[in-house]
Amino acid sequence: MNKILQIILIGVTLLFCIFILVVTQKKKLSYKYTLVWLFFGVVTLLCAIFPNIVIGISKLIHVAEPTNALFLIYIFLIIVIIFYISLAFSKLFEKVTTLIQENAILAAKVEKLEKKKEKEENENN
Amino acid sequence: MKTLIIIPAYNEEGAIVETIHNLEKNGKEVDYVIINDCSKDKTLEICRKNNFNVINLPVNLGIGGAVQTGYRYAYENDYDVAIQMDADGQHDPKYIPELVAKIEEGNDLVIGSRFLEKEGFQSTFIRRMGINLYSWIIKVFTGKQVKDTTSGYRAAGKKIIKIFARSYPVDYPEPETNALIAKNNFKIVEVPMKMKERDSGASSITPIKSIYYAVKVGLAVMLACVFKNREMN
Repeated sequence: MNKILQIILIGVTLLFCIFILVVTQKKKLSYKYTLVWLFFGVVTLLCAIFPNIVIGISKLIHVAEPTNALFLIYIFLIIVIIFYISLAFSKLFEKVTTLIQENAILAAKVEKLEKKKEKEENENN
Repeated sequence: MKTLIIIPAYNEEGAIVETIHNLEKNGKEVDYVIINDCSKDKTLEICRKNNFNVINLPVNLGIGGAVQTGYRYAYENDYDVAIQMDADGQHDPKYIPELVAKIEEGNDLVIGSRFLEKEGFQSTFIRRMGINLYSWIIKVFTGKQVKDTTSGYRAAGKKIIKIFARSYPVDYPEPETNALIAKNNFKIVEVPMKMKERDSGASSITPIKSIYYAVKVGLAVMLACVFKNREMN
């Protein structure tokens, strides 16, 4: 691998990791997802520092060009992450639905109680 | 038996008053609850003005989420029977005693069926094809006969109320839940009834969407038929 490419990769990846940590520290990203993205960063960093890893993997899975192997692995990782997001989203959807329903039921109950109370107060006066 | 009628309503300002008055005339023994699914028209105002028992969803959840709210309400208020019924006047409240009687006989889910005595509004040809397909899938996988798989006029007993309160599909919930109930060895039965064409409002489904729904519901029915559900007790 080209030395300059290597340096650019390492630099960008380090910046990416720092960004993730800062965002987490500001509580904009929950730790669950921080770990996923940091894993991404660490893998990239390792590949940049030790290009032999990528070359070894490309031989292992019978891909002629190491870059192509790298693309393949990254696309796979991205698909895994997108699927993970779909899972999280589905769960969230269910939770929000429950919340909306329970809230609506409670609101109706409160309204009924208030009406009853008003009626009682009117009768007392 | 303590009975609740669940009436999901989305943009039903033209029909809701008549539906509720019909219901009150026919079934004095039963309670009802309207679930207003964040209608854009005056449905909510009309319900409030007439002092109808209404639960107002603050955001639109779709038919599944609205009906499930009704089942949650039924579960929390300890009803023995919950009957879902459309707000648009398609479903005649005169069948309510029959549905309740079937639950009393020990059935878990009672479905009002248009096809047992082919009378009244029979739906469109394309829709009937879908209905028959789901019916066939349920028959093949569970051995049970459900002819009107998409009927939205159903009565559920206590066990089913609890299950539906916990989990209910988002759109076109009827075929999937019928499959689920049949597969998990609950007693499911159909009673013949006539349905009217809707009084007001229009079906909001475009052809492309209907293909999407048909495939999605087909898949859901098959999955429900193949896997036993662990959440069933």
